[in-house]
Amino acid sequence: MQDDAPLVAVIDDDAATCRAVSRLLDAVGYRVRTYTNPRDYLDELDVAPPICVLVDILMPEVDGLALLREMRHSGSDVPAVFMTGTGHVPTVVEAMKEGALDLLSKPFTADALCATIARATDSSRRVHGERRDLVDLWRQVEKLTPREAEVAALVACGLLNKHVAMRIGTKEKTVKVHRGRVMQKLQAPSLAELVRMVDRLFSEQAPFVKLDGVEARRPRAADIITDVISRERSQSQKQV
Amino acid sequence: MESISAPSSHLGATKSENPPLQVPWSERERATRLALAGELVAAVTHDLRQPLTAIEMNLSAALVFLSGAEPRTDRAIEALEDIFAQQRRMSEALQALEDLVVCREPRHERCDLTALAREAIALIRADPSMREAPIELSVGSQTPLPSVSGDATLIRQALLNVLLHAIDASGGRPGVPIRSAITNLEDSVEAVVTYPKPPETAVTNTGPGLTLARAVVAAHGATIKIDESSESTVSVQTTWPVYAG
Repeated sequence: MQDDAPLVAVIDDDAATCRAVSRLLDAVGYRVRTYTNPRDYLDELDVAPPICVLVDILMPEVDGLALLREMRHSGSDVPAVFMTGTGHVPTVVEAMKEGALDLLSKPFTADALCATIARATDSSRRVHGERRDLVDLWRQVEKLTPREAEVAALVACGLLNKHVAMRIGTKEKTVKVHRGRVMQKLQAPSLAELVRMVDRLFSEQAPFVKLDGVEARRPRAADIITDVISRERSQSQKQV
Repeated sequence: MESISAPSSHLGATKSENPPLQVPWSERERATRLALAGELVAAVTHDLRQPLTAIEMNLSAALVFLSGAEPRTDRAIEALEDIFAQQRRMSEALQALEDLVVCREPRHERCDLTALAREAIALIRADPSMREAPIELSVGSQTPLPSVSGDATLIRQALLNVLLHAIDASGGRPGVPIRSAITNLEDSVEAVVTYPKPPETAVTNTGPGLTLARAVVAAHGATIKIDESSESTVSVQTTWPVYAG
């Protein structure tokens, strides 16, 4: 088994099911951690999060739904796939409402399991990739001074240098200098790229995200950019 | 036609004011049988789904282990051995089902009453609508409790029925627990299920669950007693003979 193989957590109070599912996932190339007690999984939430969690709905003490709620409450957004031995409709509906990525009804086939885990893995990788991009962007934006953040937002709103200068009460020449620094610090090769970056900061305003178990906080400069864009948009709406 | 008459709500009630509830016995018996069959099917289905899933996973894993460029026979053998274990588990579940539906003399084997009570509670909670059933179990301090003599499948079913009766009779009031306790009485072991007395004056010592439990108790030379003397609770006590070898 390769060390960089995707890690899947299997949680089922039935030890035989846990072992068998884990054996199959191991055979097809995943790393697997198994838990017959959901509490043990919750205790290890901060230890190398899995790419997805496969969890039985009906378990004594903490059932699958309660486990998912506790995971989300603790800030874990690992995709969850539920297994169920019952076709009880309200339970299934509740599971999907809680945000289950998929639901496997026991007895399920190996093909169904592998397809579902592959889908969960793709989803997890996509989310992880997007989050990494956001954290990278935050790290670049963090380098901007408040004035540079303001200039970045105004330029991204389509204002010419002279208009930016009027907005912030300075000379056009000074704006040019700020703009050059913004492009350099954000490593933006073009105005289009700067607009894309600023749009992302505006559309994703979460105060922090967890990446590989480490919390990254949104920088102050990102909030300045968001505030300026909000102000500009509300002004242009008033003018219309 | 045989019928069951509900008791008048007060002595002065006349027939015309309060006509007796006429329920054909055959209909009642059929409803009881259907309810028991439903519980049985749910429990057995759950018991079979787990090993079936494990068998499918182990078989597929064994195939993957054997079909690679370098077959991993040791891992495939592990998987195949697990399949045998799961097949035995399915056989036991089917045997339990057969034991319940086929009339036969009960076996007299060594049984752990506490384990059977735990299994009965687990079976109840396997039903999603009973997942949160407030059932508590306490075991007497004189450990280890002696084994009792009887047929494990039937005793578990009797305990299950007493617990279901308690849930039905207490009206499933949220937060009000049903207490079950296992105690050593030297030559016997007692299982007591205590539940809140229903608010209205109701006949609490009848019902299909208790009827089946009584039949099992009688077949084992055990005893069953319903105590309604407390103002707030009802207790169903079953006492099982200790296994003598």
